[in-house]
Amino acid sequence: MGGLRDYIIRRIMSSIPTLFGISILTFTIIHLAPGGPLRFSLALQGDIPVEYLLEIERRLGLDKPIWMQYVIWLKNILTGNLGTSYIKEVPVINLISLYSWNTIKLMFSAQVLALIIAVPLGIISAIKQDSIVDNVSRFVSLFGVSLPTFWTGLMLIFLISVKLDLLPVFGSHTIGAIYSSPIEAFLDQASHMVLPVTVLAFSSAALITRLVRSSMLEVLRQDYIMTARAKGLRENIVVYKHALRNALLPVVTVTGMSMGFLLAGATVTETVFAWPGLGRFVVQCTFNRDYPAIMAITMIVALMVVLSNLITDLTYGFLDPRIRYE
Amino acid sequence: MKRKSISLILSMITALSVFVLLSAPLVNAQEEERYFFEFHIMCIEGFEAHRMMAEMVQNECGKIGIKVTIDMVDFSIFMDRMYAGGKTGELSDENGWDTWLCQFGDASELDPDNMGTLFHSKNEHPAGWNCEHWFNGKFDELMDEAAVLTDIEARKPYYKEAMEILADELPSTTICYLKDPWVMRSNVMGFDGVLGCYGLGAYTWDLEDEEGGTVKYAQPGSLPSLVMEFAGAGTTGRAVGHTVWEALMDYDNKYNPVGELAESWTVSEDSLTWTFKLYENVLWHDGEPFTADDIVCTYDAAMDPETVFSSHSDFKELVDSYRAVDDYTFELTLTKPSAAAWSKIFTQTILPKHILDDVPHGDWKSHDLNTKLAIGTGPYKMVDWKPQEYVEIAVNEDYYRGQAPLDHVFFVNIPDAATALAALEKGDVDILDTYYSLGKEVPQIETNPDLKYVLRINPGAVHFMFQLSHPVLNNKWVRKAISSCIPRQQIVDDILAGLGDVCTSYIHPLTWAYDPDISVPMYDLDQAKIYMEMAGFEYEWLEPPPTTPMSAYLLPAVGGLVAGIVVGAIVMSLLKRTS
Repeated sequence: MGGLRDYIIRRIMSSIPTLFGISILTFTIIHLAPGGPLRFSLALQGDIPVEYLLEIERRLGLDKPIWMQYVIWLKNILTGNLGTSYIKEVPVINLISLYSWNTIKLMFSAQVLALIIAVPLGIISAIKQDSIVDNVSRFVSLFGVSLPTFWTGLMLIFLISVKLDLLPVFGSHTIGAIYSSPIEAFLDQASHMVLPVTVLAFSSAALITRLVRSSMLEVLRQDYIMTARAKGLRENIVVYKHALRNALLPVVTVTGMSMGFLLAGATVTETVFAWPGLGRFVVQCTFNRDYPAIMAITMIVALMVVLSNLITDLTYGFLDPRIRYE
Repeated sequence: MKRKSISLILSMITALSVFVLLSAPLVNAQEEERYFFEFHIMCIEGFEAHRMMAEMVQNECGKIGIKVTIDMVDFSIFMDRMYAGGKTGELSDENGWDTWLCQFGDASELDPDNMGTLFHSKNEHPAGWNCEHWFNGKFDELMDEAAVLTDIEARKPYYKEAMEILADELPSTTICYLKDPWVMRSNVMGFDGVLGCYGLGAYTWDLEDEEGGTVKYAQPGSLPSLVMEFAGAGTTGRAVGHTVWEALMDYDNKYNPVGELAESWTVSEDSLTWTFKLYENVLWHDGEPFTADDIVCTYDAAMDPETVFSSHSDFKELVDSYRAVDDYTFELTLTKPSAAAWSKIFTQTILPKHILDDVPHGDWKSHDLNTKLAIGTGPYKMVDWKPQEYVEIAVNEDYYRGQAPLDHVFFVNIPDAATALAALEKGDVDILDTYYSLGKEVPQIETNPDLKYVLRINPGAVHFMFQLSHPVLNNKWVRKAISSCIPRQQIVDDILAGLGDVCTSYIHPLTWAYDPDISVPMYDLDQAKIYMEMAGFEYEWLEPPPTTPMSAYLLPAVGGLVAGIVVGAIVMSLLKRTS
């Protein structure tokens, strides 16, 4: 147990230089990007006086050298201050907490849905290799991996929402709706989640299905599986107790690493479905060159990826008792 | 070894001869590509129509001996190069620009005085937005003289002469106006394509066969802040500007100044003092009465640079003093007579004194009134604002000019145009903003009986701006030649699919200062060549010299070949003898 604790502390400590490096890299890149917060927010308004631009620049501290701006940002973030959004003029932390819940809802639901579909499908495909189920699942997962998220989203909107009129087109709830009961409100919100979650889960599920299948096929060919079968164990026990546990190791890796990919997918999905979430907020901040907001979100996502990788590594130990944390 | 060397020399001579023969046509072809000079057109990446327009100009300029390179650049780079090019140099090769093609302005062309923004010498960058460095004393004089007149008829001759100078000197030329469709459900009534642009239209929106009702208006951008005069409030105008907020004066659908909170006004004989009679029965949405003190409080903030209102510099330049004569009379004295005062000063959003009086001006931008809930005097009250989702406004039953027909309006944020159109088809939203640029979808919309569209001529023209620091483009005849190379009608027909109008003037045809007799040089390649000759370019030079006949290359090549063989044979026989 002490080994595990030391391991966790060591991993957390080792992630500090990583986060530090990410912060320098992100800060440099966003400042190297052409234009600035003022160019974007003001340019389309027409003849904004130059002195006005200079005044705003001075207030935001953008007239200082870039290294000084970084030091100020670092000092603030170490004291828990993520800064104030240039565009919205409110603390970034308020904006992140406003949008992140919707994105977490979307990402979590999509990941759960993807696992619920992909793991059984991958197992069946592997057990019944080259059967109709296997061929169909391979075909569909190939589509899932290949099709761009925005295209899948738009096609589903057109087919399910417009033509069949089964689900709403956009948003997280019906705008202007008055609910008579909490159940009605829940059902309305759930119906708005179906399409974006399906789209987000589709590509993720496709990847995991293929991974589970190939991993299972490899494990099922191992000597110990043959031994288990030779011992006369029932096929279900061979597959689910002996094979699946080992086959899940790469799936856990991919699931852990997919945090970043899911957020990237959420950005597109949220844009297509007008879902009010962090992904769209990131896009908006990037277009507006809202430096404090971009930095804060990048650091939070980086932290999430670091933590999810740590959880992944810890899960290995649970799945494979041979793994020791030293 | 020696024989090998000789064979090598002979092979080289033979290869050289063959090369001379084969390269002859290439040399000829290169000679045909002669051009007088080259310039770059800078366009914004992603604006496909602009790229296609630039390609047409490129193609046509090639016909009169001008080589054109198109630079598609990111919007931010475009802005940097356009406004900050001077940091590294003015021209394209120096990270500046030679010419740019872009839709410019929106409301900027409503009053002809705004021509000065781009062309008056006092606005030379970095003091202002005259980045093309064109100066004309007479033009400046006319603009200054017209600016102090308040009578439209008196102003007309000044602007006519100023436009004539522009059309003659041509620091920029105009290409076309775009017609953007507002697409909506068929039952939406009372929609005005001009007023909709400024949010004013919401007052007249209605639903057929329905008392009250709700309209959902989709727009791609989300609202950054509530008060228009704060930075980045570009889309505010269509949501809360003029629906919730109001000003002293505003535009009508012919772009004429009309009163909003001002019932009437008078101007003193010297055109300096404006006295406004205000509506007396106006209430703020929280029930407090509106008085002239609210205007004084707002104008105090506009005069203070700490507030960072975008209108501050106009106030600083034009406003001398102001006061509340009584609760319903407001008087303002200008520093100089200014016809454009109504668009620069009197359209300032009026904010409630009873809420902001004790708030330091520097904190106004982060105040709830700008970030959470607008409390204005307009025909609608703001109810709710969910960032990235919607702004909800509800009818103001106590509105002093009569209640608006609708009960609720939602300004819904849908970033993607395809999703917005799907939502409209399904009936989840009622009106789509022009920012979706749905021109290409018009044929599809026309076949759907549930949908209709209203075309709005965009007040901002697509401009083609010249950099006067360019060694060749500083010649007005060259600029006229290029203007004559722009196939405007073809652009409207082929690129805009008819959803546009050819633009001949710097002034919008719907406004009072427009004069159809004044036009920039229109498409005419023969005339373009005449302009080029007037600029000193001679087309004889451009004509490719007579093509060198093949025989001219054949003779030295064959001669070289024979000479090589003969010399080789002699050398080899000499070597044979000596050995």
